[in-house]
Amino acid sequence: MKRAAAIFCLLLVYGAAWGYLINPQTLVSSCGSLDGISFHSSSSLGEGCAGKATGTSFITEAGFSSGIQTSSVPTGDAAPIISNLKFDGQVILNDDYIKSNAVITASVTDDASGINLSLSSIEVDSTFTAFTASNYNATTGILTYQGSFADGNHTFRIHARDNSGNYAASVALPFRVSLGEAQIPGTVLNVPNPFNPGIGQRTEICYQLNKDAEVAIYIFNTINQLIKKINCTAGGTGGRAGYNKVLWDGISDFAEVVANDVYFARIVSGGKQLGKCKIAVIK
Amino acid sequence: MQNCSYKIIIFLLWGVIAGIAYGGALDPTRVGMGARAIALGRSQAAARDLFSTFVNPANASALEHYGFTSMYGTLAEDSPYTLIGAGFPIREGTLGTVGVSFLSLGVSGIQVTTFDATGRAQPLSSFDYNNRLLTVSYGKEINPRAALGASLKYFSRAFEGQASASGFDLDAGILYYPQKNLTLGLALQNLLPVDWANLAWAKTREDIPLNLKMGLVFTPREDWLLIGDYDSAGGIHAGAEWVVRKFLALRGGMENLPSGKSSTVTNYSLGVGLRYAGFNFDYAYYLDSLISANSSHFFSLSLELPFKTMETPAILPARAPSQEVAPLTQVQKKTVVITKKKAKTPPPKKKVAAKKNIKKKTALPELTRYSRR
Repeated sequence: MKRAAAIFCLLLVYGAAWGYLINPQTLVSSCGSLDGISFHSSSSLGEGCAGKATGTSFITEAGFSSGIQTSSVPTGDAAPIISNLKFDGQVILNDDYIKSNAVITASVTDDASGINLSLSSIEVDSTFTAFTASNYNATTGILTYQGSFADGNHTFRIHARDNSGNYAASVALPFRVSLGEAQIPGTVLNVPNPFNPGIGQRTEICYQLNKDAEVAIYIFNTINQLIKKINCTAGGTGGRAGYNKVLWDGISDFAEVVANDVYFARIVSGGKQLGKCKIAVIK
Repeated sequence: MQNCSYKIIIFLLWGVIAGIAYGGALDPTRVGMGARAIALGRSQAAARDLFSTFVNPANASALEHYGFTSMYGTLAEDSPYTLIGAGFPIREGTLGTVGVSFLSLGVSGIQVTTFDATGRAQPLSSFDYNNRLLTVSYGKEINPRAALGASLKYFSRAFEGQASASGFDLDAGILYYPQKNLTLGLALQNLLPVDWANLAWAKTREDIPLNLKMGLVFTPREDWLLIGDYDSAGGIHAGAEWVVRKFLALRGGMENLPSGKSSTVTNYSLGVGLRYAGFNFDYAYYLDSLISANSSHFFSLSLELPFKTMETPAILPARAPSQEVAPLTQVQKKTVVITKKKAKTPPPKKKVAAKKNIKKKTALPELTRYSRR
């Protein structure tokens, strides 16, 4: 009886150890710095750890915020690498706004066998578009997708498979498109706040815009006198769908460094105030 | 004495030419002192009421009664602007008039921010900002055609938990009456140079720039008042007041403000004044033509002591050069006649006082009934 129990225990320990080793996530996380379901790996242990990931997003040193999932295909060849996913040249985060005809680009590369176009696809809201010679440049590895999105929420994802059968996919990236009036969803903040223009410090007025729009930022002092106006063209800095950062150096339109005080930045488009923030200047 | 007035004016103008500066720390009085002044396009260099005392201290000389006043408004949607003030004529103004005011402008919920790892702005905490001003003014007639005044101002500013500063400055002003229905006013605000006073922060010292205000009040008719100011730091202001009834006045104003080195913006204002006995209620709506959210409501409540009855109305014309007797209005003429008739019998003490009061009023110039506080 004791012998049977000992054998049973041994089997349990063996089984647990085997189960641990065959789990692909465990295999990958053993190369360090990965946590959760989003990661970049190859089918072989210890390869392809190109960044740090937490939760469901993957962030490279360049700030790219998207992850890659992979299936383990033990061919000895690394899975495709998807990186630099950008919307109109901008890195976006979950639920950011983009314009409806945004051009999406990403780098999709493979180290050995090359990308299999017919087995790779772009997924938009569960609709798949295959890689073709017209949207994928095999020489540069740049994938281009011309968006034509309707008003509302969408999801974008890239699926890539190489000729060895290795598979990789970016994390599904949710984003939004608005065709209505210009709006600033969320709050407007300036960073840093307070700031000191007396030593050359500048502050960035940050806000999300739901669509490309002509925007003006009016900065008033506490007695409601206009001291600075910053014009932002539609699609340019400050007027682009998505997250905008507009610099102010603390110099007024009277060509003077402003005094210690609180200033009200008001973001206006089409005669309508979209958002505001309070900027403190302390020298 | 008239030469003396001219010399003072020339001296003040010289000071302006020598020292006017733009920019620098803000003088919060530029918001406008009192709902009446705001309704009149923020014109008050020569307005001769209690609120205007804190813009041009010479206006204090026009006060004949103890007065208490208050104002409330909101700037930039959520920044409260409050003002309380009082005026105390010494020996019925023969020794001049002292005015005291306290102004407070607050901004709350200013976010301290940073960028997170994804490069997005995130709030960390928040703090409040207070901008306060205590003013003590004195004004006195120096001759039948002119009055002088001066104000000592104590500024205090604090970014809660971040930085604070305080400092003094000085205003000087003059009123001049070239004719019975015209008053000219000139004020030099914040005369002290930065080395002497102004705002001392921990690391810097900020000048509150010298500002010139010149203004006039013209009363073409008893029930109409036209007012205008030139403000070297804040543009041109103008307004009109129509006294519809003894207790009711309607006002409108506009101002043209610099919004850059070569651009200006024009804003408008409207208002109404109600008065009963010694109480005055004034309302102003300031319409910002650039940003509608900057448009604000302002309210003032004032009290004059002793209380006046409607028979000895509070809406008599304002004070005049004491040796010039302005023509009486129909209402005044009737009142004087009645008083004279009653004076044949030995009047009780109260009526003597009333008569005395009326005599004083008859010496007032033809500003509208609403021009006094």
